[in-house]
Order: sequence, then C-alpha cells, then structure tokens
Amino acid sequence: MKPDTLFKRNSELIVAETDDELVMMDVTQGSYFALNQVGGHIWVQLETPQTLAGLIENVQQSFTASDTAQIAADVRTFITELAAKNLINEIDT
Amino acid sequence: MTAPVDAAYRYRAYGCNIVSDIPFENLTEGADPSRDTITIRRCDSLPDAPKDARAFGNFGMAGAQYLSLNIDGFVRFSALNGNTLLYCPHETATNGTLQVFLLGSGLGTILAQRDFLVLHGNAVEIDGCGMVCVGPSGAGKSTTAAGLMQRGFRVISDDVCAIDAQGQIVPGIPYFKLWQDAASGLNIETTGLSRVHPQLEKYRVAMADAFCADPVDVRMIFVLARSGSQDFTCETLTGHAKFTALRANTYRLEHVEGMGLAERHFQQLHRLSQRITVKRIGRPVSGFHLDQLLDFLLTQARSKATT
Repeated sequence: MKPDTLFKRNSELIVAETDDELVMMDVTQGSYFALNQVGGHIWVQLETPQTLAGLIENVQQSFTASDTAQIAADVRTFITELAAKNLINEIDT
Repeated sequence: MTAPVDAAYRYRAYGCNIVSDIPFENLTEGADPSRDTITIRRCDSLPDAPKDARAFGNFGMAGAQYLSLNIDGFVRFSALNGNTLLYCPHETATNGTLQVFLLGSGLGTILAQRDFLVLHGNAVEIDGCGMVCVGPSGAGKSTTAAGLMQRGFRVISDDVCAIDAQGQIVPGIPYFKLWQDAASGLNIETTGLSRVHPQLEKYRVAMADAFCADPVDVRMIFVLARSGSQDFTCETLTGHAKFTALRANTYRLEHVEGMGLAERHFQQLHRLSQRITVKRIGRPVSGFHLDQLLDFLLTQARSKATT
C-alpha cells in the first residue's frame, strides 16, 4: 500500500453511532462491524477520500500519543483491514 | 376453486385480530373491527415460493414478505404479507401442538413482516416502564417474569416480545410457557393445565388479571446470564456491545435476514438502542435463587444511574 493511495468508503454500508462507537452493516453481505473511538475518528475523516499518509498525520495530531511510529503502523494495519473487509475501496487513479 | 368456509375463532394479540380455523387456548377472545386481521388457515398444499425466495437452514425458504418452514413431523407453514399464516399439519399433530408453532415461529415471523422489532424475551411493566428479559433458552426469562407477576407486576408478553416503531411493547399472548420445575419453584400447580406439547413437561400458565393489555414504552432490557461467581453482577452495555446484545436476542434472526429485512432491522436496533438501557445481569453459578434475582433486578430497574 502506497502512502498516496486514495481510499473511499464503501457506499453499500449503513452506519449507526451508539455511545461514541460506530456499528456498521454491509447491506450486500449482511455482515456487521464495530469501530472503536479511534476507528470511528478515521471513519469520519473518510467522509471524503483520504490517503494513508493523510490519515496517519491526522491521527497523530488528534490523539496525544507520543509514539508516532506506532500510530503510523496501527493506522496502516487498520486501513488494510478495512480494505480487506471491503468497508473502504481504493480509488483508481 | 373455493375452500369450504371453516369455523372462525377470533382473538386479539400483538395489536391485531387473529382469526383462525382452529381454536387456541388461553387467548384473549373477540375481534376489534378497528384493527388489522391476521388469518390462520389450514390448506392441503402450501402456495409455491415466490421467485426471489431462497432456502435458509435445512427446512426453510424465505423471500420478501414470505417465509415457509417445515417443522418436521409437526407442521409446515407459510407466513405471507404480514397477514396470512397458512399451515399443513402432520397427521399426528394436535391443536395444542399447532398452537405452539403457529403462535410461536409463525406469528413471530408475521410480526417481523409487519415491521415490528421482535425480541426473544419476556416483557414486564415496572413502575409504568417496559422491562424486557432476554437471554438464551433456559436462562430463566419466563421464570423471572412469572416471579415478577407473583409480586404484583403486570406482564406484557412471554417469549415473543414485539416492539413497534414508537418504541412501545405491544401486549402479546396472555400465558406463560413454564417447565414443571420452574412451575414447582414458583408454587404453581400444573395439575389440570394444558401442556404446550404432548411430549414436554411444559405447561401453559394463564396470566389472567396480571396480563397488561395496553402497550408500554420499552425502557430497559436485561440480558440474563451466569455470573461465573457466587454473586449477582450487573454490567451496563454500551456501544457495539449493546447493539450486539439486542441483535443476538432478536426472535428468529435468520427469518428476519432471510426475508431481506436486515437493513430495516439494523435501523430498528439502532433506534431502540438510543431509547433504552441494556444491562447484563449475571446470577450465581450454583442454584437458581429466584427471590434474590428478583430483588436484584428490581433494584437495577429502579436505579436510573448506570453502573
């Protein structure tokens, strides 16, 4: 995955927020997912297409954790997972 | 080709009239012309499944506003359009057996077609608020509700709990289905009561005057579980844990999803989760201390603050 790859949300998802957590359902597959607070924050950013690098920078600024390398790795893992589950898709450029 | 007009037995349940060609025991009798009617009728062969229908499980077919199920050795039924339940009984099936399946799975499916959110649980009115006990079979839902009834609370429904778009629990069927040991624990005499099924030591126990015939706002859901310790425990569920608990305790979830209602169901769960508090109640592993459980539940039901 390249840092400048653009991702967008899968439009087949319906999302509900409960107590700062996001619960989502893939309408076509009928599968359910839940995102915690940080995951939900990233999801909100994905309202418009985002690059991996942009998301990493955003999370590093939004959450006051010192280990920026760890954040970068975690965001990368999370985005990989979202893409694998078809919750987000790469935009072909 | 017209079917002979059979005797019609008229009842009310879940905010609807139920008109059946076989009599049911312990139901509220009489139809109300201002309400919609659900017709229950025997047929020699069930209608063909619509083109969009797909198989689910080993014995079911489901599509939009359609579900048919073969309960092997007892009955086959088709639930159609939220208003019609057709059935083909097995030759050995009694009216009592048919009542269990038609008013359980059958009516539960019709209610889902009618846009109710249907939970697998028992609803009791506590201080004017609707409280629903959910949990797996054997968790003690009916026993708990029957115990609360004995303490003077009104019961809104047993086993199949239907919640409408306004967040109200609609009154269900005015009897419990209780196992012999549960009835014994509650000092309920089962001699003379009908068994829900000839082979089961499970009896219909009328709620009588303790039946709440009016809709009640749902406020709280208790998920009954084992605590894994010697104490009662209570945990307030939030976020996806709350959502997941409501989803897992949906009545016949596979029917809802099979009928293509997953998206609507998701929205219903979300709306419900905004309205209510969900608490997981753990009871001690050893023994079933009903009185202590009821005390604990009532304390939790009346404490507005979350734990």
